[in-house]
Amino acid sequence: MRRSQNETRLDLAGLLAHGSLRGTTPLYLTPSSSLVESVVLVSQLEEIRKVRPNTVVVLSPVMGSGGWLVSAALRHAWERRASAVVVAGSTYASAAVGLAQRLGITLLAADGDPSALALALAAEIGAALSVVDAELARVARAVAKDTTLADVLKTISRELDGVGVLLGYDGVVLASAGIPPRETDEVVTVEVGEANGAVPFTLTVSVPTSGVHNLRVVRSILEVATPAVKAAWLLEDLLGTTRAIPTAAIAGLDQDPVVSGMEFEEKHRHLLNQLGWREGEHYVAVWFRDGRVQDHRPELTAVLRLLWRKVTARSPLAEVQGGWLTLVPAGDQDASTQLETRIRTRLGPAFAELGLTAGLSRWQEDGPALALIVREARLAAESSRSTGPGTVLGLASLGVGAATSFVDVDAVALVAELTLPRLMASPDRDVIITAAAVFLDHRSSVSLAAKSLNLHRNTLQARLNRARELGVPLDVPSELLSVHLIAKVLQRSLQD
Amino acid sequence: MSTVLTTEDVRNLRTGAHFLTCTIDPTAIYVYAEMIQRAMEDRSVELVTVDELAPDDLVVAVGMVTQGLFIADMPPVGDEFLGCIRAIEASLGRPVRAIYSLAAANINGIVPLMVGLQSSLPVIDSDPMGRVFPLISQTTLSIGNVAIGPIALMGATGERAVVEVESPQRAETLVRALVTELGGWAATAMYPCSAQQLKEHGVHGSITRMIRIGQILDADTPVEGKLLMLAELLGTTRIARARVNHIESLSRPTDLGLPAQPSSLTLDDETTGRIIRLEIQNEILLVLVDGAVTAAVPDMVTLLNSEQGTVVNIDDVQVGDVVDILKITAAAQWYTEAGLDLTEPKAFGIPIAHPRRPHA
Amino acid sequence: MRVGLRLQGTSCRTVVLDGRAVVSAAREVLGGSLPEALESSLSGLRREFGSGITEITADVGRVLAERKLADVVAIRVSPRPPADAFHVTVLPPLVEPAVTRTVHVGGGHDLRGRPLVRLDLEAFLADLPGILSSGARNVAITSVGSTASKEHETRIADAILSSDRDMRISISSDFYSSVFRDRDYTAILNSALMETGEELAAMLEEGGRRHFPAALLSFGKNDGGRAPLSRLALAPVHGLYAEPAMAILGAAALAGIPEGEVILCTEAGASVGHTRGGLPAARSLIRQGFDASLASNAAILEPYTVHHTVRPDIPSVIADLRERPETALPFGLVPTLPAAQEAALVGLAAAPLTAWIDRLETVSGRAALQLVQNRAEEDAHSAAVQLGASPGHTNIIESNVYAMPYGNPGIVRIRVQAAGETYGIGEHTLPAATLGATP
Repeated sequence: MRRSQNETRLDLAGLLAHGSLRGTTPLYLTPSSSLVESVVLVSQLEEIRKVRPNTVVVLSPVMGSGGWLVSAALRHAWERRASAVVVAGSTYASAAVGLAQRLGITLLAADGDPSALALALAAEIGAALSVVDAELARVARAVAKDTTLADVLKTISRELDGVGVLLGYDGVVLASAGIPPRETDEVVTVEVGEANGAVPFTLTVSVPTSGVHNLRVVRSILEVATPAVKAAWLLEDLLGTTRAIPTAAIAGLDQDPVVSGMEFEEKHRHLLNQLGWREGEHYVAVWFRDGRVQDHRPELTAVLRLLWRKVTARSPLAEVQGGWLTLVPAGDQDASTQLETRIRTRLGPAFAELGLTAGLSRWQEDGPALALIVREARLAAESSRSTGPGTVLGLASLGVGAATSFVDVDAVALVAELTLPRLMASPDRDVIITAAAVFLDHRSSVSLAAKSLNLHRNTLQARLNRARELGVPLDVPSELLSVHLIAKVLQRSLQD
Repeated sequence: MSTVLTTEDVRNLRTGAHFLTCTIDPTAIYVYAEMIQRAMEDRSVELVTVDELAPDDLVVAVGMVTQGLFIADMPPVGDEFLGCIRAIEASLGRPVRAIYSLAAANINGIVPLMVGLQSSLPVIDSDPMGRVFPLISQTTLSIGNVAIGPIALMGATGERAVVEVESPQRAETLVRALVTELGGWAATAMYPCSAQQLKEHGVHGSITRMIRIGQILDADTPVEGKLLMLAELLGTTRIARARVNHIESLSRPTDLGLPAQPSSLTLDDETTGRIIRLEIQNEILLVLVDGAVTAAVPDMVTLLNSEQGTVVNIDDVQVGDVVDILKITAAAQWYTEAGLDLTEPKAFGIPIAHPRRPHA
Repeated sequence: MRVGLRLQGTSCRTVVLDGRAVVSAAREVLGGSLPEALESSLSGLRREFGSGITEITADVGRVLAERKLADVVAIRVSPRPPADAFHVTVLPPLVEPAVTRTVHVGGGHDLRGRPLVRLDLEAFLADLPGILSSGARNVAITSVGSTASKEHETRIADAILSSDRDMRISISSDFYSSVFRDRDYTAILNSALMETGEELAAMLEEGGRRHFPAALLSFGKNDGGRAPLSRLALAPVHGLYAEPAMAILGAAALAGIPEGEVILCTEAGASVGHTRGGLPAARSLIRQGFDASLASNAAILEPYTVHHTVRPDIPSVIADLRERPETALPFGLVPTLPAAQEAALVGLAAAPLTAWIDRLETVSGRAALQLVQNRAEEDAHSAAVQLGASPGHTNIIESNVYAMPYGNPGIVRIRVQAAGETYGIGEHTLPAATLGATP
């Protein structure tokens, strides 16, 4: 529904053409028409110093008259960014026209008593404001009818003639409606949510600068719509939690890692059936993990649920111990790959912002037990921790390499410092470490390692000897694993 | 340190007295200066500082008070001030030891010299205004609660009155009424006080200052040099050099008819584009630069011809003239609460508080 | 056709105007004496134009300035005489020697017209025989406050005339200035010029009548207007500075600018005047530095300075009046009227009859103010008609009210100028009446 915004936004041009200022004589008009948001009748020059911007300043006749008075009033009004100055009569005012022009502020001469004009203007502004109030009430009623968050955002956007409306969290867009924002838009933001939340949720509207929207009115509309936004969201969250119970149950029930997946399913067959899990159906599990252990963020569930909708709406997201879990039906390998890609592209950047990671289970032909794929997804998510926030990792791509992701990098580095002090202190340490790492990567083959590093084998041999001199045990079989581990950990820290 | 004034001093004094009130036709000052120079041929007048007098010496202010008439309209007979001094002496029963100017600017800046010549009394280098104000109650002595009366008045008719009054405002009213009936102006002697009181409350160095101003302005130096020297002597600042753009005579509402003298000037500062407005009512009361108050009474404002550095007579100002607008700070007493109460624009019917008024 | 005629030394210069066209370029006739030159000039004009000439206006300013001033007795009426020599009114050096005797009479009024002291007529009458026997023929009477009331001056004048009817008397209330010194100076100068004025008037009258019996004979005034020759004997001071006013008028007439700016370039430099209603803008005082001013309505002519503002919205004429206009004009001025040497003569010929009302009135409110102003305009109109103007062709050129400075709110000065022509002829350059409300 499109309706005209003009009657709520008063400006000088409109007031002069057909509003309460039409009886005045413009002594000087600024080229662009200013907004009018209030009117003040002053009886002393000092009063002008306190007016708000976009006010029409009317000089009361008790102030006396004289060109000097109009000049001083123009100056004060200009400093306060008033919309215009209105004086009684034009005899004394005409001398000040030059100053009005120079300062760039509109000067009007009233025919009769300026006090009467001030009253008429106040009434007109009041009427415009009450029109605004009526509108806000209508917007409130419209959004109250909506039950889903998407509908509320759409309604807000529609009320504002299709502008872009966003619900955001910590810089991440959770939901949106209307046209996407452009560089040149004016942005109005209103906070949604409890005051004690560390990071607020925001409702943002991007208004085109050349548009008809009065920014104050837009803000008011957002403020009025906020409760509806919160209500719809809470409702959805509640429904989402309900829908996710079957998913949460699996993780909740799977407490004993020793029990195999098959055993688990047999044990809980009846419950799983009741919860709606059918035997033989293929799923991919996705586990989400919060990379930031320090600050506990209870609101992330709601955030994730909204973000998850960008991937699919049909698999509910459950909050479980250690993260969040969802099970997505996947008919074949392609579906699984597609899912991984989709999560990565649509949620990757948001996850990076929020410090989250995701892990996926492997798709398997023979439909593995649900508990198993949950464990796989969890493992993948844990592994992805080490590669940094925003990582989306499928266990399939990880393979056994997942094991090394559980390495405590800091502890290993500490071991290196303590047990290989000479190496760590050596100036050519970086080169030596690289040489050792690649050497061990190639199962202690100097020629293969040299080839992969593009070095002459004698050069590499010299470096390995140097390593040995510095105390690196490259020849003790039982320690090779540890050395290899240290070398890889240190090598990775070099690359960072 | 007492000095005997020379004719050159008198010429300089004439220029200085005019400089401090450019809004008043200086013809009368010039006429007096001529008279004084001729009279100095066989008599001399002495200028003393207030310190040189004994603290309880009786001193009295002398000055013309006008109401509806220029001095030139009804020439003084020449004995009016002597008559006033004698009346004060008779009223107080003590001889007057020295005289000082009622206002060290305009004609009252120079009149004491003639009185000094005639009476052989020394003229004190002090005064109770430091500039011209229209009311006799607007004096630093008044701020200091020095009694204004008894006041002696004498007109060209030879009629003489002594007014005993306490309130300076009432004194103003009574004196005005008498002056009207005496023909339009009267010679007066008032604020009889001790040299000590004048020392405490007066503005000092007034006459030498006017002489010094005249020396600077009458010299053959370029205008910029004169402006620099004036800045050093008086702390003047040049508000702008601007071209007269508009002269208004009906710029503030009056009861009747049109004022004879322009009551506001609008000027353009062509180098910066600023619009400057002067509000005048016998004196320049207000200067607005782009609408902002830049100078306001009691600040003194005067205009100099930008080419020659001579004082511009406001009645002669034409559209197109380029003038230097100078602001001179008045004596410190005028910027106190009491001083501002007496002399800020509100006291002249312009409802603006002085920018130096401490905000409540 | 009208003649503009200027007398100087022993020469007479004339120009003849028909409507706005110059039909006879300036001709100068030198004679052995001034009457000879005049005679020669007039007879030449009669031969050429005969009875076509209807008006002759003479500028006698230069002659008045050349001739020696007659001796004058200055009578000053004030409450008390000056107490010492220094307080005596000082006259400009050129006029001072003309005053052979100063007489003080007690009297005088204030600005409201109330007497300050009683006129001490008795004492004056006692002095009068002494004054008359000294051989004085010219008297000037100046009283304090005579702008507000001329009573004391006229009573003294009457006293003198009743003893000697032929005494030439000039009273200061005939001239407007609030400054005693100015009126005193003007009355004295006027009185000192009256004899010369009489002579010149007689000379012009005689020659004019003989050659052009039907023509109207006038002399040019300081305000750019003219008055009948009879006035020359009574108020010669108004003819002293006619030439610059006529130059403005003439240049404006030739250029067809009844309302505008006139820039005159002479050997002495460039100056600026303005016309309104076809006549030069005038003020009531001719200032002379800080000396006494002459209280005569005179055209305003200011020196042209480098700061002169060019106003594109008002028409202007730049007239080159120099005898030899070869060199460039100062300030880069380019004449719009080159070779305008005869502009002053043209102005003389074109000058209308003018009359001024300049007086103080007491008013109590806006309505009274309007009444008083209307009455002054009527009086000015009548005064012009009395000079010979036709009532239907007389207009008010200027009508202004001024408040008196320094208070006295009830007293205002009303100043009105009326100008007219003898009979309506379309070729005159005077436009319809414009009421100039110049503040």
